[in-house]
Amino acid sequence: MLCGAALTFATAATLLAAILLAPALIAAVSERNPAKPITRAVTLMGVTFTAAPVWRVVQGGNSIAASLDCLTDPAVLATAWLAGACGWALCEMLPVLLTGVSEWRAAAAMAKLTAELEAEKLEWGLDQD
Amino acid sequence: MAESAPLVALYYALDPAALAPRINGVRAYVAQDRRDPARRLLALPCAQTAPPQAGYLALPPAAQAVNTVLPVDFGTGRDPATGAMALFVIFPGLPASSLADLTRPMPEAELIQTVLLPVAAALDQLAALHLTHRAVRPDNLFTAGRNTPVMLGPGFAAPPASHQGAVFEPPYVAWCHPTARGPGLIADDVYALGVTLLTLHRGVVPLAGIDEREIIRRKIELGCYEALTAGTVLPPMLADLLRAMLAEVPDHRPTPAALLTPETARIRRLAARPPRRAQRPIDLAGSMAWSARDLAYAMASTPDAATAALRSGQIDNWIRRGLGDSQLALKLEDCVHARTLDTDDDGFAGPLAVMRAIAVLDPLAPLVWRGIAVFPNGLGPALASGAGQGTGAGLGADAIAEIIAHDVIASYAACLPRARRTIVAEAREWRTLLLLRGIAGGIARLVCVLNPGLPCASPLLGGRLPTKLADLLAALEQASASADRKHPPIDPSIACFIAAHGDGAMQNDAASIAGLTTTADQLAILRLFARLQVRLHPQPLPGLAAWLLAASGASLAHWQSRSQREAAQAQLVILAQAGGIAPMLAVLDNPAERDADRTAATDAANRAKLLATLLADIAAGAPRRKTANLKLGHDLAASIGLIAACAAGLRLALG
Repeated sequence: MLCGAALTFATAATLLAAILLAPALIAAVSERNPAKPITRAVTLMGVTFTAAPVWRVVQGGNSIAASLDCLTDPAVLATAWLAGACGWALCEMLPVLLTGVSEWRAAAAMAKLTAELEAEKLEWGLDQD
Repeated sequence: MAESAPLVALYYALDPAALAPRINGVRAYVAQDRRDPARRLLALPCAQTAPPQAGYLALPPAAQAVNTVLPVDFGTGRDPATGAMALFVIFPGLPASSLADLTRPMPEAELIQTVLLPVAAALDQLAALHLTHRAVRPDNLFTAGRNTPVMLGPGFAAPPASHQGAVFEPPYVAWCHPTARGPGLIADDVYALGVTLLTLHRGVVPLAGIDEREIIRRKIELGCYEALTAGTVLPPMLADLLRAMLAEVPDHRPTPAALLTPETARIRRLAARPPRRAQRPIDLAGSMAWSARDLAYAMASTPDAATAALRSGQIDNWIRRGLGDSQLALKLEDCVHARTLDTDDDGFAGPLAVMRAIAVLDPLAPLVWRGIAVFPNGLGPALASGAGQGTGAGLGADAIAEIIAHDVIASYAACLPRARRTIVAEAREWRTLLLLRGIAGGIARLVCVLNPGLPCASPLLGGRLPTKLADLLAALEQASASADRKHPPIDPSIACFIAAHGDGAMQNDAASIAGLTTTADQLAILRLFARLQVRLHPQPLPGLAAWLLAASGASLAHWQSRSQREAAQAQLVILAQAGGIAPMLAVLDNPAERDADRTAATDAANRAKLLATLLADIAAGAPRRKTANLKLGHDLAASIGLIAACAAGLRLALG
């Protein structure tokens, strides 16, 4: 309903926003995770670079022409989409990075505990039990 | 005497070349006491299976007796004849020739002056010392020349009466196994002296060449005097003396003191009722018995037939009808049928009934068990002879163990006159020792307790034969150089020797050694040797200490902390080199440290379990961490996006 109202009363701005946030829409459609974490990140990053052009179109009378002007400006479209791609990239890379860090820490802890265990076994002959 | 002469007990140098008499069939050695070279002594080697008599070895140094010898000392040394270590008894010198070498009959007057009076004096003095001689016979009487008083050779170097032929002993003693005759009575010495006098007077041993069983049978059947003097015409005085000295009943014989005045002794007559004789004999497996004593001997010779005859009532009938002694029959029934003879499931009631019947029929008879005749106070030497030779030439250790373990001695004593029951309390102590568990109990303990003069002949000692506890430690120290140190320096022989010769604390220590392998056993062994060293051998014993340390593996292994174990091991090595066993014990037997070690070990085990659990958790947590990191990464990406969006919105708002 909100989208319908926006499309009715601010058609140009809404179209511009829809095109600039196209990566978010694609992510929303293609992502299977019900929590939609990638969509969320892509959307928020896309919004960062969509808000300013949309605001300019609204300020400029909310005309289709202004909207098309913006869309034809490669810097606007590429930046918005690139921001969406960044959001996706962050979603893919941060878990990998964090997993790497945590596994390294787990390995270090295991090495320390194993050394302690070996020392106990050696001192008390526990491996002979 | 050469400086390199073999030594006995450190002080007595043996001279194998010097002429010395033969005693008990073994040549003695002339020995020189290095502390008093002018003293002429003899050293007689004793067989391990024929221990010297404890009563003599325990005599105080001041004890003296005329016309005989008492032991001066005893100890071990290398026998020049065999080259092996042997136990020697040391005693004053004796003339080299014995009366066995005498080839002429001795006239009565010479016999009385040179043999009877000196030997009676010697026996009288032994009786005053509460000892018996039990080896009075011509080859043990030594003379320096004609018409000189004889010297009575040692009787203590072998079990009592063990070298006496049946002819020199009363029949009830001659029944017994030679090593199990017990010390007997001084009256038995008087009997042997009587036979000796007869032998010397006749110039030949009476009943020579006759089988010992036949000698015993004749003595029982005819009476000792009649059997021994048959066909011999004796001077009246000697005949009177011998009639008294060879009396059947010990109480009827003159005492040694009475024999010092032969004129009085010859007129001392005690009227002894002749044994009741049956009209017809009883046939027991071919042995004909005419009297109760005859029957007792026949039963001892044929125990299986005796059991059958008792069961069938044949013996009871014969005593009532043949012998006509209903009182004896009644007594026999009381004693024998008190046991249930009919139920002999364990094969025990039969021999017990025979033993009791013999004791009732002949109150002087020894204990007869499964055909073996022993006096209970002679079981010690019997065990030593059996223990050394298994059940071969010696009396079987199993049979003696059965006698002691089944309280047969108490049953035997119950059939005896009250005065002869003193052995029962002692026999119960033997039973306790026999049934004692662990390495300080059983037959080996009994052998040591009943033969205190017997050296310890453990194979761990490498041929050394210590006779005293202090010598044992020195012998173990010497043996440690070539010992197999995997095994502790103790075995049943050594444990029993220590328990038999040691005080109550040592007995308890020895009794606490159940085996040789557990920690408790090894600590008990260490405790025992520490106590021995503190009490008897204050000098360092590095060899024995190292041996004990090498064999204390389980005690050290019981120490769970490796670092503490290694520290203790290092400390023990230093202590062992110093030769102190008690400090080693203090390190190993420290209950507080052991408790702390045990507690720490428990804590360590719990800690190890915790660490293992943590490691397992970490290893198993990878998928969980991956999920968490994925969520965190997404949240982080959303947060960055949100911050960026907010920043863009703010920038827009601020123009």
